Amino acid sequence: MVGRIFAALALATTLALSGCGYNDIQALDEGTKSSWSEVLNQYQRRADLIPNLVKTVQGYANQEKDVLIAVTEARSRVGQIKVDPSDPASLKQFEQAQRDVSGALSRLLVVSENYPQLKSDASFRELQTQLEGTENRITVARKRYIDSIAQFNVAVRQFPANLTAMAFGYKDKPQFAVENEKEISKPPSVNFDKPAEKK
Amino acid sequence: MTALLRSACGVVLLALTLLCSPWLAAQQPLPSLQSRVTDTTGSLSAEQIGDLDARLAALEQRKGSQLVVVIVASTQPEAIEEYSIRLAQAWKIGRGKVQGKKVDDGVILLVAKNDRRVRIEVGYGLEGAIPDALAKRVITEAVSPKFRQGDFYGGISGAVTDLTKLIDGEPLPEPWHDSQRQGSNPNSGQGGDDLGMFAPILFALFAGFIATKVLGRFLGSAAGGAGAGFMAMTAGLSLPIAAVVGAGGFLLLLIFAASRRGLSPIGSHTYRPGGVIFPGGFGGGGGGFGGGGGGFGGGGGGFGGGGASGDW
Repeated sequence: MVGRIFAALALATTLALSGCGYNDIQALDEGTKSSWSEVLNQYQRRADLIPNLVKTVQGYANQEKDVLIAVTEARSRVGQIKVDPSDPASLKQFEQAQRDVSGALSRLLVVSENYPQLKSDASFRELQTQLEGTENRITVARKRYIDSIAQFNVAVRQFPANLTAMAFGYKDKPQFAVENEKEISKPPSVNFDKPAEKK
Repeated sequence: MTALLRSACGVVLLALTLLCSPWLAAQQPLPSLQSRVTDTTGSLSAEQIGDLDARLAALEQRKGSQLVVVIVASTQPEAIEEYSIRLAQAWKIGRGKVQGKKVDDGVILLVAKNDRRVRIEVGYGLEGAIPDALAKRVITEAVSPKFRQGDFYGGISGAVTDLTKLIDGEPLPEPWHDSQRQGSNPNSGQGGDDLGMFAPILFALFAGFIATKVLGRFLGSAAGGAGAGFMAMTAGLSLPIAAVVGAGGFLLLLIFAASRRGLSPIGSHTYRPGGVIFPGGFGGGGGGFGGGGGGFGGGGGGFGGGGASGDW
């Protein structure tokens, strides 16, 4: 009789454990990882476009050295960062570096409006389209990452999965900063007045 | 008990998710997917819609890819890109998986008439055939000039021709046959696992059958039922359905154990009715997948923001 009760208890514990979100936590954790690699993938794609873009702009607007150097430097800074998405400080640093690239790139595009020949250059236009597409993909990938993190965090904080998470050492993960998200997800505004004033 | 707890968890999670999405109110509602050409602005005549629909249907017949046309008045306050990816995620145009391989060969041509914006949203699987630069060219060369003259049909028709050519150039898996089609419910994109999930459930029932011998009738049946329910859940069934499976398994084992005790016939003989009853009980739950029959639906295709936007 005692043996039976023990066996039943063991079975019940196993089922309760899986019922309390262990499998969910596993699945969601994997989901956050794959959506994070998509974010990295798309940022990398943008970084890969930069050398060609810089080269093309140089051909027509070599005097815009400051802007070109800023883009190149921002890109190389991003390349040096080893980001750990589970560490808030590291994630913030990564965010800042990527934002610098976005800023430098949009300044480059603003400046390029001053060079009609550059604007009509076929390869420049193609690069511009690719850049737009990549920015859009980054937005989508970020949004999906944010959603997957939110799902994961809700899962590990809720009862009873939080007990399971505690037992297996899963903690909630840092989220992308949302205020910047709004800013970044806006398409870069092309301000025609700015470079004219600069002249 | 576990299942009950789980469903309570599920309800809370759902409520939280809903509560955490206040921005939903600020978005334009998505049109419902009824056919390959959706025009909420009345810019196209019935014949024009019929013509486009026939060409798009022919493309799907030939290549398996789904290309749809959507005309809405406005996507404000969202940018067309945001609205477009939301639409793509909701409609799941294109095939999700064919024979275990991801295809994602859907394309959406979205026109926001009053915003004077147009976008070609390209599914993952066609980003090679329709890279952003080509999508942009379709917009600047085929769509915008016609739209500027107020010729919406001409622009859309030209884009459909160009996109069809690009898709035709891409090697893709064979088009779906009707038997492979998982109904019109977009969620059934990952279908085909349906058979696979019977195995673990049957295994749990079998284990439960042994458990009735070790643990006794009631405990064993309870354990087996819980196991079956849990297996159903891990197989991707929703909580209520898994609970039904679990309860069904419990009753089945109980009845079986009782009949074995009472009549002590040959095991395999009595087990058979169980095997028949069980899929019946599951079938009731399977109805929850809905879908099937009539109309047009997405096939579970995935999008990642590929494509290009333009204006006129």
